[in-house]
Amino acid sequence: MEKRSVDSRVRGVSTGTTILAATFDGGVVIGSDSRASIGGEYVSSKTINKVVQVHDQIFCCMAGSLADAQAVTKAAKFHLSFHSVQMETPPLVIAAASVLQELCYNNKEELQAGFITAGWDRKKGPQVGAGRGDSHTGSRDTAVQSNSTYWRVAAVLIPCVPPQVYVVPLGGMLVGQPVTIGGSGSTYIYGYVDAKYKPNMSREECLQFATNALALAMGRDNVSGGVAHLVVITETGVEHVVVPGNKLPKFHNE
Amino acid sequence: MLQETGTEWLSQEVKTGTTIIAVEFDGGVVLGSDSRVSAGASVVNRVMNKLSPLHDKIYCALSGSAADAQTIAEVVHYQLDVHSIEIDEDPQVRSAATLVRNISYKYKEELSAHLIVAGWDRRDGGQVFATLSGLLTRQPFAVGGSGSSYVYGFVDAEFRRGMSKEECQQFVVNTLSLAINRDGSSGGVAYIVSIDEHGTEEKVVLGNDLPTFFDQ
Repeated sequence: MEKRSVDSRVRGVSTGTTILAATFDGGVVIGSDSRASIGGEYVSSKTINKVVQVHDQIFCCMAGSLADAQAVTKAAKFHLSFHSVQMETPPLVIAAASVLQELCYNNKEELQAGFITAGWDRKKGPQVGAGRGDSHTGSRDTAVQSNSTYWRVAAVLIPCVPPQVYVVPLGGMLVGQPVTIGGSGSTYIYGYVDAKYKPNMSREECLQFATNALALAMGRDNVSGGVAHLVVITETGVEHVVVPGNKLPKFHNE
Repeated sequence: MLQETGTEWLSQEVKTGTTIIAVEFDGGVVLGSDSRVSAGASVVNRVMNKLSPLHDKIYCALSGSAADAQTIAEVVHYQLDVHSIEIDEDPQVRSAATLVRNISYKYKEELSAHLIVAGWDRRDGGQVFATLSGLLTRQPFAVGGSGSSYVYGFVDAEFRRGMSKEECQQFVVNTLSLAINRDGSSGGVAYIVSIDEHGTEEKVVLGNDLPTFFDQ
């Protein structure tokens, strides 16, 4: 069997985990499993909540080293509350993701944590985001060589649907997508998410999709498990849904 | 990509970093694979058929080291030929899988290949066997190769017992397409082989005919 090329040597307690976030018509669902493990051999907590509230309607999911993730989210929470006081308005989701990105990128040597940020703000509605090291996600320059002369062509910024979920993986890049998954358990559900996610689902469909995806990942990844923590964020507010292990959907082989 | 030494692939092992799948349905099996063979970062063959016949109605799917997998398949093909003459009838799928397992187990330190064996025989109908690292286990379906990690969730959710042959073929094509999209070591075309009591049917689904999903 081919080995997955995932660096799983995380120092200390790791949230070898499955996290995801997806947008639906009118909101986002963000969710995670609840297992914390040491070295992939010992489950140090069965009931940890990896979905952290960084502002009233903005949540983050953490993956990687638990200590690093908690320290970063604590700092992000502080920055965001200060920011919202200064701006006299709740922060944008992309602001929250950017705060995380800056913390991850500037400390990339020491940190081993990745995040998914999702929430709702007045400007762009429901969004989910991801972050990475280099922040050149916009325009690019491509050099084309032809007969020993160089032509520089600046790529045109193509207008697209505003990214709605932001993900900040290891290294500190920031990328917005309609749906995103992360953590060690996410490798097993790439196929499922690609096949089953549809933009503009209803709230119930999206919740079912997220629960199924988490259940499938927990079923295959030995460092993900426990209960499924889900948070549904819409314009009207925030709702927590916890699905205990025995109530998770079962599939053909169980 | 402007400046590369470009010859690393000459000294790196050729792997069929791949996605393979075999599924049992009522009355037969369907096997599927992608077609990419890589040596390091180079694709050295983009149209390799990784579904190798061991007998008329028994095929195996190759993954891991290309040389190891091909050699095992050839040796077992020969051994099955001899065996079927000795018993004077078509061999059972379990026999083929056992022969593959025997080689994989005996030489497990030297070899790094994983073969999935699937086929149809008169006694037990369609069967799929996994022979990873020298174990032998019959399963309703099996996936393997580097691309398989990405589709475990999908196959767990979508597989149902008692599918028809066409549903199975669609399931296999969908799975291969999803894995090819996510795995850098899988790509090219999809080869599908369907085996039932009436015979064996080989099919190729070209890259642009593969199913697409919401983000494509």
